[in-house]
Amino acid sequence: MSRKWGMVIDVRKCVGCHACSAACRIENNVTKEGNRSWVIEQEVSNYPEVHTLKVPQLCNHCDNTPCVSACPVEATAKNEQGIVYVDREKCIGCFACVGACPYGARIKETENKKVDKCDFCAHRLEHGLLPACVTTCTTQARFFGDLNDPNSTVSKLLKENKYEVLLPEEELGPNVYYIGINEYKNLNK
Amino acid sequence: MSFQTLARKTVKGVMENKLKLAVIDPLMQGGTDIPGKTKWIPIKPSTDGALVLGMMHWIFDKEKFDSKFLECPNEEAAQSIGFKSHTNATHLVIVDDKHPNNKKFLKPEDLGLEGDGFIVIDKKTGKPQLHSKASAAHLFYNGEVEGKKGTIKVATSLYLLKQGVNRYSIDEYAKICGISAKQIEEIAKEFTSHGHKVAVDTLGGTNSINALPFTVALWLLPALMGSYNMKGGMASNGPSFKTFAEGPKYDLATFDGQVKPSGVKISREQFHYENTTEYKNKVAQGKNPYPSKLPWHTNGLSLDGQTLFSAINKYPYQCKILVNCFANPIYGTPSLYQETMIEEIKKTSNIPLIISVDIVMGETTSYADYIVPDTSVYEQWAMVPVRANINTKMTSVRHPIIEPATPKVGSSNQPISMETFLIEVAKKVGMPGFGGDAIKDANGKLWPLNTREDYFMKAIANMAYDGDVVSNIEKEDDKITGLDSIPKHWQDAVKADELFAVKNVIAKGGRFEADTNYYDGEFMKYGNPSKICFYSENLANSKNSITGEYNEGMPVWMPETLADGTLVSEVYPSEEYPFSICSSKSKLRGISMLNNCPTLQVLSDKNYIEINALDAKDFGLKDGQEVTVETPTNKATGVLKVKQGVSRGTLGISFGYGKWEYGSKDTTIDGKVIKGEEIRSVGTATNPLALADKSVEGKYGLSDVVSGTHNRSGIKAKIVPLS
Repeated sequence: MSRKWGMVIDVRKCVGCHACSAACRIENNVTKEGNRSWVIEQEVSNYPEVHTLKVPQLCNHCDNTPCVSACPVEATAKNEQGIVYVDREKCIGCFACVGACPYGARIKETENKKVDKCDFCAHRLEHGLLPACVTTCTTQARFFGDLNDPNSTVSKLLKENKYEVLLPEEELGPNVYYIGINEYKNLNK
Repeated sequence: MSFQTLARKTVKGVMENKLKLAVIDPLMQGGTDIPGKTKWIPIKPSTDGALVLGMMHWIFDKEKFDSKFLECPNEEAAQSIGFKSHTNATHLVIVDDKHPNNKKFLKPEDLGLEGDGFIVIDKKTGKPQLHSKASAAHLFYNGEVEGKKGTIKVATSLYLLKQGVNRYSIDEYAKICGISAKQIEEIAKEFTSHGHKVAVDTLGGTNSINALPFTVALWLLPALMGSYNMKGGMASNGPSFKTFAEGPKYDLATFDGQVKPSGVKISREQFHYENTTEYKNKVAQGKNPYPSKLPWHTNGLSLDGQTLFSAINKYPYQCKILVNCFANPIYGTPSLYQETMIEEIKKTSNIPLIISVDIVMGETTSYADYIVPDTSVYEQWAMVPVRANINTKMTSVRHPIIEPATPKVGSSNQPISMETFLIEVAKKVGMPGFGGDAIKDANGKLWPLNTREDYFMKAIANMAYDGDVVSNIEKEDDKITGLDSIPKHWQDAVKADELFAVKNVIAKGGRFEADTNYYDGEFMKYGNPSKICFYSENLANSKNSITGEYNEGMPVWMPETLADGTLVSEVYPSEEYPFSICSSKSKLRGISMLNNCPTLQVLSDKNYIEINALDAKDFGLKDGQEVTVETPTNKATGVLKVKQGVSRGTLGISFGYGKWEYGSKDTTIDGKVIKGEEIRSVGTATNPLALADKSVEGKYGLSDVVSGTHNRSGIKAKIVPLS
């Protein structure tokens, strides 16, 4: 079986330092028009019992890919290791894929007329390195690995913990998993 | 680096259920924040002292301090029962108005005893004894001792602390800080439930005009439990490697013809007003010597923020040349960027010459007569010692990774920078220690100081040979770091046989002891046995130079006051100014020089005026609304953010935004326009909003008289909607 890259993020460990967002921007020369990796911060519960839920986000490298279907020129695709990527040579900047992604993970480079997005730092993976957001994470909240390998850290974390995905109602089969979100969300109940 | 380390350690500790964490902050900043495991305790700005003193009240009431430890009157006694610090809890203080040494520690000679040191009441005999000769002494003695010339009223340091703490009840402390008495007691109970394995840390609470007693009281809390230098307790920073002082290879600290700095610092710090000629003259003329024109900060240290207030008042003396480098006091100092102050800064009669060394047209640099271009972090050298939270030996090294873009100048044709400027000026005016034969090596041979590398390469050689010698750089490292092609004058700055070890230190970014060497059994590995003082004779015997009253020798609750003692809340009542500003350090703009960083501009382009949702409702304010923040001395505009995580009556405004220079506007240099970048000026700055103190004669930003701490947090304010 081939590899299937995926990420597990433990939101309880995230301190919202945005080191991942910054490292990603520098690693991938992301333009000022958006971010490949970002962190949403949201207050849960009320004063004074309030907590802050921090959710690091990126492309979910979904199994079902409306973004790929939306592309008229086959400039974006999912490779055999599960990475949804953009071929910038082929991209014509129609931005159809941007609207098709419910996660807002695709960046409109209006000036360049190109689309940019997270590719799990494929250029680093080739050299046996982890994505920049994972290695830079201050509190080791992000884990990356092969979801098809039952012995990988990510597979073990998913086996041992309750987890969820973002926008499950979209039924896209995302490959970025979150541990701990409900511990915060339940406070609002 | 250090704060990320703290985040990593606290998250790990909390996740593994090894750490309980309460964050006391007017603003819920949401770092290590896990439901059920961490707790936010909203406190009113500038009232941290009341919380800590309230905790102490409970600890004294319930006798939850470590009495065995505190009873140790000296280092040996404390070490014999397993501690690595001791206190002056049992040392007797004279509390006798009639005694010439009132407020001072009782000395053997006061009792006609032989020996040196302090006096305690020995637990074995119940009699006065030299502190070094008793193994345990009474903690709360308050009474009389038989002196050479009759009885003397005395009390122990700990008795005086307790007496100070008990001036208010826990309920009163609770009312002051906005944290319930029950919660104060719970925190105190938790704090005293782990023996010596407890610690405190702080940052923001120390930046108020009443912060001195808070800061002292906070560090005294773990001293009540014997936590200092203990595993699981309080640790000092790890040590640094030898660099600029006399090292194993070069002496960079001393040179022939050296003149040591002397005299009174212009910042009015570490000096008693009573020793000034102004004071002596007033007394000689039969006048009341108080108040002084500006406060004297007897217990302040490194008060660069007070320098400009002194300069614009020509007090205590005229400033002739102000050289500014690595600093931006006009942005960074509360109460300074205000019309009345700036008018005075502009006057050449106040400051005849301002030279600023800077990499941009900074807020301070914009007032300079001469601007010397400096090098950026990528173009310069620096040795950075250990910061908090790292308890191993380390020194990091920054080296120029690109050729500086500044023009080459001077006798050695070097890129202009702070160091080049200093070297060239020193050589021109003939100061010793620069040019040829300036630096002595370990064999007494003299080396020149013509370039910055002449200095920094030698400092790194000292590091490389401090203790075990660092190995030579590997060929591969030499190549990939580009150190194989460093300029010849770098190489020539150290001996040929030192060069490869020096390069290895540079390649590794410094020298770092393994991160595992924290402990020595139950002790912290580093940290000399220390003495913690519950009572400060030095503080108790110094006077407030405005009121002429003695300062307190122990921490007691102080409300915010003007220098003359008038309550800030009386001059600016809460009916008119219902809010206190809490100036915080944001994650993405923690210091004043990040506005030009494109990555951070995208991740967080502005700050907000953060307000509690209940307060917003009371005042009819809405999220996203544009408002003016008005303080008694200034005003600024900004955008409101309505949050749950802000304490009542607080406006949270993070530091680092709302700049007005720093390359945010066009600048013309030699007829050429350098385009400004507007995004650098977005947001609201709090320092210009801080209060001026009209109770003193000079033009002065409200500060604590004793320590010189500014009105950075706790600025009284109101909100006026713009739309």
